[in-house]
Amino acid sequence: MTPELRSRIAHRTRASRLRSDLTGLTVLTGLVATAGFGWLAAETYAGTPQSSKAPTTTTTTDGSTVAAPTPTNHSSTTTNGSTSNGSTSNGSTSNGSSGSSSSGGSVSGSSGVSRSSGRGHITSGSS
Amino acid sequence: MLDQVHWRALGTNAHLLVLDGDLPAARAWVDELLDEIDRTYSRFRDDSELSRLQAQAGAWTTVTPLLWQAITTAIAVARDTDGAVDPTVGQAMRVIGYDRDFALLGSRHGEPADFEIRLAPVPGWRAIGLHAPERRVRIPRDVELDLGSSGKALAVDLAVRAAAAAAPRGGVLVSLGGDLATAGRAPDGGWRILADEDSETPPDTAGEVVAIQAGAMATSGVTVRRWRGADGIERHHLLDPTTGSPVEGPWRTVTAVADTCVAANAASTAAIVKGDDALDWLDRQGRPARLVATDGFVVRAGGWPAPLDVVVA
Repeated sequence: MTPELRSRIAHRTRASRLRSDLTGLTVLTGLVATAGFGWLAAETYAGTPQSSKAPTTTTTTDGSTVAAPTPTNHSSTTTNGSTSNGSTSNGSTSNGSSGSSSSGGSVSGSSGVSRSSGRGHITSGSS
Repeated sequence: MLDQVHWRALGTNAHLLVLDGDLPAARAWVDELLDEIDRTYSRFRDDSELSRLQAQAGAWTTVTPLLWQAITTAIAVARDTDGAVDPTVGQAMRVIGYDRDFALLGSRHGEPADFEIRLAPVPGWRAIGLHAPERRVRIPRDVELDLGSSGKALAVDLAVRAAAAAAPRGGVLVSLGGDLATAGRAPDGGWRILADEDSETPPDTAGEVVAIQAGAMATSGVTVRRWRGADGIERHHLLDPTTGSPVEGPWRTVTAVADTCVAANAASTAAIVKGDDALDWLDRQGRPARLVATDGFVVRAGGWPAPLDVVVA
């Protein structure tokens, strides 16, 4: 094996490791962002936390006061009959956990070949 | 229950593994198919259909469905490997001395003759004429076909399909010279395969064992099937079509996984031929592969698992 090829292989190995690390980091970031978004959505539409210092009254330009709207119902019905818990659903049903995704999350076994700790049934080699 | 049998066929070692099926029936199906393949496209039999086709070089000749499949498969492999695995290496193979069953090559060794073998690029797969509606083939007069590489892999794919009929609720694995394919259900934990350089190595030998649930695996290499030619020079059977001579690259063995044995064999053989470009090419193909460099250094590509589990004998 030439030094040039060995160098390319080493570079390739480092790149593969970095790609793997970045993939893991991306997944972690996505999970944190999803959880954060969900928490913020819950906090926003549920009117909590109770310790919120948000004003319950608003002063108008003429000096009178009006009560701030209080959310009374966590669910609303859209015009097409689908339900939402307050987040924008654009007609679809949402449970507030938007941001999570079921696609692209599974990567295991994609190569079709895996490690085995057992003894071989057969040998693949040159003949 | 997993049953198995091995024997010699097509000049190499044949293995048949049957899970929860009828082993004798599967063996019978495979035997029948391999006999037909030998009669159809062996280049070492004067009475094979391929030899008769070769004798008709220059003319359009109608061929049987099996030979048509073998030739078109070889051409597809050549196209998909950018010509790295080419069926028109027959003449080059004969010139370097691989002109009979490998087991017979050793019988003519004597004092090296005092002459030089001149090698040249092979004609290339585009030289073969095909007329699909009538299954007609035209081989130019100066071209000789060798379907050995893709032909053996095709035999494995066809054999495993035939054997599967004997295990309708189980699974089968067929191997010819270390190129293998599976069908049906795999044993618990998958079909465990020792990735080695020599297909004669017993599978329970210490080494790198991987598992597949389905699909195929093939290994190509230059460490076995070597011989000393009439000019006294030792050669092997993997030719570089651009030179017509045995490959001299960085890899001595490559094992690849694919859906079919034809695709796996194409990848493993092409990787040997492509040399320094093999890794990038395998990446583009998306083929898991294990490459052993001439100095023994092992490189894994395309999702081939790291060797954390090595069986200790």
